[in-house]
Amino acid sequence: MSALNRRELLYATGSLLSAASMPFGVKRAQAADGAKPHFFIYAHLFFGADPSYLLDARPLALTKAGKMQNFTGVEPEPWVGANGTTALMSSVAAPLKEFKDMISVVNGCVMSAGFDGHEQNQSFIFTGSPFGGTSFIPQLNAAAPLALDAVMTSQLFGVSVANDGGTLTLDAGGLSTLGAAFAGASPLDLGHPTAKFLMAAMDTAGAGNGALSIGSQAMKKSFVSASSLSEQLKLLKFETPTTFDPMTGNPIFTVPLGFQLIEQFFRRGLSRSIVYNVFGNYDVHDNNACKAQPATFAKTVEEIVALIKFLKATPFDEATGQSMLDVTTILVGSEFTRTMRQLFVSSIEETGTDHNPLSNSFLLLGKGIKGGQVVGEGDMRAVDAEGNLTDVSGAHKSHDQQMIKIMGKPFDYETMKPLSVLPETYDVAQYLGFNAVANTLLDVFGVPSEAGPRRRFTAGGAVIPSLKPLIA
Amino acid sequence: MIRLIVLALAVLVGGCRTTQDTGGFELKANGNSVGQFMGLDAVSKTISSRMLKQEGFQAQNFSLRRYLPGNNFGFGSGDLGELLGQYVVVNGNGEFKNGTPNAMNMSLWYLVMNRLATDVATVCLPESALPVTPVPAPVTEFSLAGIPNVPFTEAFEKKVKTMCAWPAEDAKKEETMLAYWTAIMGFQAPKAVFKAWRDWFLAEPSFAALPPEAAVREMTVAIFLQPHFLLSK
Repeated sequence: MSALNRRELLYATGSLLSAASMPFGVKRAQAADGAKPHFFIYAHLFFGADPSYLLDARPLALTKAGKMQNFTGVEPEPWVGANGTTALMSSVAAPLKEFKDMISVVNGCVMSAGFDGHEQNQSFIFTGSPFGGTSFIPQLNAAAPLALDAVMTSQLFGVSVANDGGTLTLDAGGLSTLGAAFAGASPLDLGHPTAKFLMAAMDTAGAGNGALSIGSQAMKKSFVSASSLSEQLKLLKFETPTTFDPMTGNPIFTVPLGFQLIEQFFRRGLSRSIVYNVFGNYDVHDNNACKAQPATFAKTVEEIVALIKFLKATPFDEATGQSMLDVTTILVGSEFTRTMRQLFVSSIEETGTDHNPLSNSFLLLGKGIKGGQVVGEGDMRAVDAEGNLTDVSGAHKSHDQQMIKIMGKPFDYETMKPLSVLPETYDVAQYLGFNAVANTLLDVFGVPSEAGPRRRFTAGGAVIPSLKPLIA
Repeated sequence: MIRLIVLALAVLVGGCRTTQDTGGFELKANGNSVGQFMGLDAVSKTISSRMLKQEGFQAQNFSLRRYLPGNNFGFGSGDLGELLGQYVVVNGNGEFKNGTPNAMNMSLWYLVMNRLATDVATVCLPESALPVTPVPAPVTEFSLAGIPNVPFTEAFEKKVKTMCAWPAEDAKKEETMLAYWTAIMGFQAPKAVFKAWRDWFLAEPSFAALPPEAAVREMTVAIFLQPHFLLSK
């Protein structure tokens, strides 16, 4: 027997807010329980991964000619798209074959051609500009907004996003505590007099055009959304680990915590998107790290396969039989690819690789994506008998005088096919760029143009078309 | 009647304006920046400097984090306080994150400010009035056990206790309520905001019937969650 202290008494007896509140009914996917639940995952291969170990490989002839490293030592095999365009698959990526009909590949995708830095090209993925701006990912939530635009489980180096107000950035360990934070808390009842007063106060403060007013408007909107969100958060439940890594002390989960987050946040309709980094030693300027890429990418492929299998096996809605994969669009990629080799090393065996924004490769699959397609193609695909590269344009040479960077081929947006022409000058409008992928995703999510402005070739240029062959 | 007038005023001043609805709050709207939450550290410091004793380690290191659970698994930062708006260092660059109001940080602000307001309201409960009952099992996974009481200053406790006379007329005097408002809000808000707060609590019938600790709790929450208290200008 012991006396309650004052705090415990007040908590135990409850407040007016809790006493007057009705328990909030909880539904699965509260905000997404209309006709079209649709979520997005971007798995970002952090920092500058080389897709020649995935689905944009090159023949071993280039390695034998000393043009390009390939530490698998295995001839890549064709990955033929249902639309007739072919990519080459590294032996390391072979486990992806199981999902060939559902995966579409975008190769030869030009990034921020004038910048080689990680941060500029990561910014380019998110915002279409090497200097940052409006990210397409929050825009995916514009058509029928869920409480959160996106959850990011780690920071992205140097990316400046203007519209990240609805994006929650916290590591998985922190996110997993949300349920505990809200458990037992009083519901936010919008009908309660104090809540009504606060909303009126936010409206009053929101009457002007200054920062406080605009913040107050956002606060009022958020306060209304918080009412249901906080009740949903109470239901978050994560596996309690019982085993721990003896070296790091980190917990070992039977289902990776990141996958648990995806399931919990999407099933409850809490967030439209989840962005997470796939960590690996991708930034292989160093020869030893470069040599280790077959092992590095074997693990990457294992993670991608595990994600697909998890989403496929996890029900989203038992009533309709939909799996998580049925309601999720997935993009896998990195900010740029890598040079084929470094100069000034004695042999191709001694090389590391540097940054290359002139070409990139992305995998797309899931809801709204027509699988089995290959769109776009990079150059430097063959060497002649003397070991010289045969398909390098003047436009390419203007950006890569050392001839060590694969570049996207010119692309025909009418036929959606790569062109074999070798232009002398570079015109961004004639190439497949990541902005086309971003615009495709906005279309896949049914985002009206006014809610999610489409990206352009350049400032003031025409809107870059969506990749229609990829849209189911 | 007064309540209706207050509501009508609120509508006249702010109700005609539509809120920004961009499917994600832009950092700029109408060419102006969005006022962000000042963040966990700044608000904790404000509360500490206005309401708490400054001597002792606990007081000097007061943080609203005390109302949030720690990391369950012991890896990553696991710091939910980051979601209330906080400077984080990303590869050497300091950036203020999670400051723009969204449903998540608003939920957390609501949570921590309600818990702090509950602590403030305990001042209204005399020790002698506490019943001798078994301590109930924690109702939440987040046990409050072991967290020491917040060390309010005597001056602040005195102002709270004056309000604890609620619903007696002494607690409803303008100077009493203004002193309490100012003890928390300082001079961050225009006088009209205080007036709207006071008028609301005087006019709302359900507040008149509340026991003092509950009334103080509601009035305190209604200050803590004001845009003028939480948002940068």
